[in-house]
Amino acid sequence: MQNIRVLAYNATNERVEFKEKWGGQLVKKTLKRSVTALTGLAMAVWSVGGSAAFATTTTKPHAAHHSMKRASYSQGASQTQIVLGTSGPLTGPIAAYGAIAEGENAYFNYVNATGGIHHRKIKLIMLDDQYQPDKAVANARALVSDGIFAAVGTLGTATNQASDPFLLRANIPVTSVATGSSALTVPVVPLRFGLEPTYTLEGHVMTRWAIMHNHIKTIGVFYQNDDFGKEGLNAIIQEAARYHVKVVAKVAYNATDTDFSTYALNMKRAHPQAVFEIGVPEPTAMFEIGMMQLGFHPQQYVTYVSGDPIMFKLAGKAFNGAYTDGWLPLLNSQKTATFRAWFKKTYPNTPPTLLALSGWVDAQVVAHGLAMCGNTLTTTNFIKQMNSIKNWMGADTSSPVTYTPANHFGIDAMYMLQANGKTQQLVPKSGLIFYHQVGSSLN
Amino acid sequence: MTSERNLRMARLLVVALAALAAPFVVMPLGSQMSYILDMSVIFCIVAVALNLLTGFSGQVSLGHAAFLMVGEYVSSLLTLNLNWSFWIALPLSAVVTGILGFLIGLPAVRLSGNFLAVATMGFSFAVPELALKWSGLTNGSSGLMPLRPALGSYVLGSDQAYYFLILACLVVQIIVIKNLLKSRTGRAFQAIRDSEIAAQSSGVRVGYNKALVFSISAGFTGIAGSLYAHYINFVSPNDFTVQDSFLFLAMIVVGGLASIPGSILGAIVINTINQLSSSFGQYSIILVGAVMVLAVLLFPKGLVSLRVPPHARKPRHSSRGSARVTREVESPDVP
Amino acid sequence: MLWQTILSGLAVGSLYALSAIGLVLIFKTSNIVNFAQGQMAMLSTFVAFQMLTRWGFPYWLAALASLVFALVFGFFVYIVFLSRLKRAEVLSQIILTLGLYLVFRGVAGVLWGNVPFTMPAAVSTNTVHIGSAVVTWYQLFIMIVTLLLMLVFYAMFRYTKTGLAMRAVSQNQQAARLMGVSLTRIYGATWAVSTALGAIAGLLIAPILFLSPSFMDSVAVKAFAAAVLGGFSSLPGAVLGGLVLGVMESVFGFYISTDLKSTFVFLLIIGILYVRPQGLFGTREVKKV
Repeated sequence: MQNIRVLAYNATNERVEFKEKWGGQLVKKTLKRSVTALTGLAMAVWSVGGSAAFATTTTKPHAAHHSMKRASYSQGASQTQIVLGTSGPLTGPIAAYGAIAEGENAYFNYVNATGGIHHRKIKLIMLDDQYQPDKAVANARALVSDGIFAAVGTLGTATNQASDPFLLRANIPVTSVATGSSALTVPVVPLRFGLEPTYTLEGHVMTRWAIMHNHIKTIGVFYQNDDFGKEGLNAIIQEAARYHVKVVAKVAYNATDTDFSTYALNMKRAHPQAVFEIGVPEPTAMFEIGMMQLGFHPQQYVTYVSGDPIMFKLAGKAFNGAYTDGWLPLLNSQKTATFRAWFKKTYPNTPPTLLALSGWVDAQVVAHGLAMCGNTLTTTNFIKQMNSIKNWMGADTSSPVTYTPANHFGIDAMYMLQANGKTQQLVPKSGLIFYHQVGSSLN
Repeated sequence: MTSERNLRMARLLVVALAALAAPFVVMPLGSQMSYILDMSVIFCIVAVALNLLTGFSGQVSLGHAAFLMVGEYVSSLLTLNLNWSFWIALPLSAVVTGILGFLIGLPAVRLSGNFLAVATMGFSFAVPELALKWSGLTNGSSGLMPLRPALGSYVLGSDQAYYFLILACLVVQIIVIKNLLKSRTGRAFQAIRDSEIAAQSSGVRVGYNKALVFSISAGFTGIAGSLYAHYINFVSPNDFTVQDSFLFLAMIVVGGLASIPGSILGAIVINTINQLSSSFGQYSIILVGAVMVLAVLLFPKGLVSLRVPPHARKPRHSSRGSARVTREVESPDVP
Repeated sequence: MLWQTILSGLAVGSLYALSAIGLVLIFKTSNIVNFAQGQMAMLSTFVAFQMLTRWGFPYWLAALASLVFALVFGFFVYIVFLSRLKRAEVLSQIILTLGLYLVFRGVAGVLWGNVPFTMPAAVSTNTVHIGSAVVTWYQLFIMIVTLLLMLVFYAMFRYTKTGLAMRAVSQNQQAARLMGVSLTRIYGATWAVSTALGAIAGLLIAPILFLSPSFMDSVAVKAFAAAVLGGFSSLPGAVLGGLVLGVMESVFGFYISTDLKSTFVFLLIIGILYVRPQGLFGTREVKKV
């Protein structure tokens, strides 16, 4: 019962750093412990089918906690266990992105099966927010009550913007946020760490590369009408302006659209040499098919969000020859073998996609930070260790991971790929292109 | 007669005590519970407003998600961009949303049932689109961050303090609506619901009253929007969608149409289930759906039908709400 | 270009029209808007998908099984849920379908996950030129199926005994019962048939929008709007409503703005309804005092 929220581990050797600052009430430790049981009771009474909740409320006496006298802990960490939490769209309109949380869960299963982090097991609490900010806030509060050590891979810009303040005030680190929006990493919030490349970075990398290598002269942008699409669009416009390349069409789509032929028609009218597509897989595929049906075959540059082999299935021939950029290794590469095996083991019915791999990587980075903490599992030490991760290639990424106190981007390099229709594979086309090489509009 | 009055008073007292004690009862259960309580009361305001429109006046709206968002944005922009006090922004968000509600209510003068539902649903689609389009004003998806209000130097920072602000708004709303329903205007609303033609022939200005009730309902929903914005401290274009409009309808149906206690019960039950379901992962929406299905099957007249009203022996026509969602159906009395 | 926008609009509009037919059928007999219609179509489509790709059955057999499943499923939903609320408020019945929507959606997510699948198409997706515009054979096929289904059910309502019984029930349940019409049988049959219609819509739409638990969401909302635009009790009206909606979206998206598309479309719907409050094909109800 991984996802039942009721936890009842003993809180004796927690050094509670967490104070509820709202209104200044201090939640006493003793109160907290009895409350856990009470919450469990209330949950069981309130929730239909919550009988399982009872089963998990029995407090298990803590095993010898005197052996490690020098260890110190913040909330959520103990000698035997580290509790982490995540909130994401497990149901609802973009439930496909629930794969990220599944990837995280698969990785922690792998860690636990191979001895844990310094013999501590990871417990991941997965909550569903349906991509709604108000539910994300409720989940943040639930996670704090459950005493998580850190949040990992929480998805979405609006959801994070709404829920993070509560986590941050409670001194809970928010790590590997699952969005490429730079709104969460610029300016740097000490307790919050990004990981995915920002849409700004990718806009610059793709545009620069397209201009340098394929000598494109005109650009059309098809983008999702929100922070994701607009951030990519702005970066493309800026980079193009640097080389006096014209952006001749900007076509926005809404996530709820069903007709993409009109957008294809708009693009065909402007007739750009290269079309940049900053959207999620299904709309992007429908747009590509629409252009193909109109007999319009420009060069295509697809965001990493849709640079997934699943596009060969969705868009078919229309995806052939499209360029994309990446920060993860190829799904069929040797490097991802462990991921594929453990994801299959955890979720036998779900295909291992790039989204799931990104969740796996989210978890790897956090686990690395935790491992570096040794026996000093305090929030302060964790942040210190995270900020010291430099050019780390231990995660299953293709780009190194770097954090400094002034830079919480995580990934700052990407490489270009091209879709090969014959082999149905994405083929690398460039080495790593670093953030500082393209220059950026951030910082 | 007097015993009935005593019973009424006693019940009111119990409800009042429960409402005052609620935040302190849930406080030891953790901050998620305090949050769910506060959000429930915000949705109570929406449900009572929607029930005035749908239950008491017979008009369906799928636009209330949009009214909430308008309230959110008006209040946030006034306090953030113009530095106005929250205490002015709160009523103003009601005024602006109310005016907008009047405009949206104008087509309602000629529409009813599904036709009205679709017309108002359009509004739920339009507001997020406009909020994204006018990103210069609304900051697009990056959102606005309105602050918690303060009474003098005391910031209503805690869930408990904020609860009493929301509760006060709900109480004022209930008093206003109760009196409204007893007034000439309120009786006109209910007459229109029961039969437009009969109402018209007895001198009720149908068009004006239909737009008016839309406006009042929207205004109260705008207040809920403002309270939400300053509670969550974050406002973005996808805060409330058409799905939420449906959820609000579910609240009043599950609770009980044309009933203020029903609206409150429905809002609390649906919101609590909805928020607590998050720990069931993939099964969360199945749980919410199942609760809705069971509630409607077991209590077709709403949860409020569970209690025996003090005036049960004295049936009143108006207490039997009937929302004309569709064409006038001959009420079949065949079992 | 205008001809192309109109043709593209007709192509997507026929998806709305197709999904609206089942919605109207239920409404015509029982006055209920079935908000679970799209999700029931989605589940039926997944049944075909399961047989087709996981168990290797041929397309026609999978499609047939999906239709049979839909017939049983629709009847089941009526008997188990809706029939218990015969005497309740119409709004309660609608909220019941909303609850079912959530349950069905959740069940599909648990059974098949949320990663989109490609669904094979019944006919070729190659393009064909009509004048200066391009459309696929598949889109033409959908338009033809939509029109055929509309005509078949229109004729059934008008000329068959069952159709007469359905109309009688929708006008006066009590009188219909006195005439020997079994309400349960008529309602059950309506739910079964309109769910099967939903399955056809799902099977035809999934190859275009990709199959996932949420694939019918947007279409279902548009189908509702289309049905209302057409008058909600008229099958030709629903089809026309769908086509008008599709063309409006397409023309607005191309000539005016893509990011305010739904705003414009709904403004226009409100405008049309203001002029014709009973929809394009609806008849004005005579209200009794």
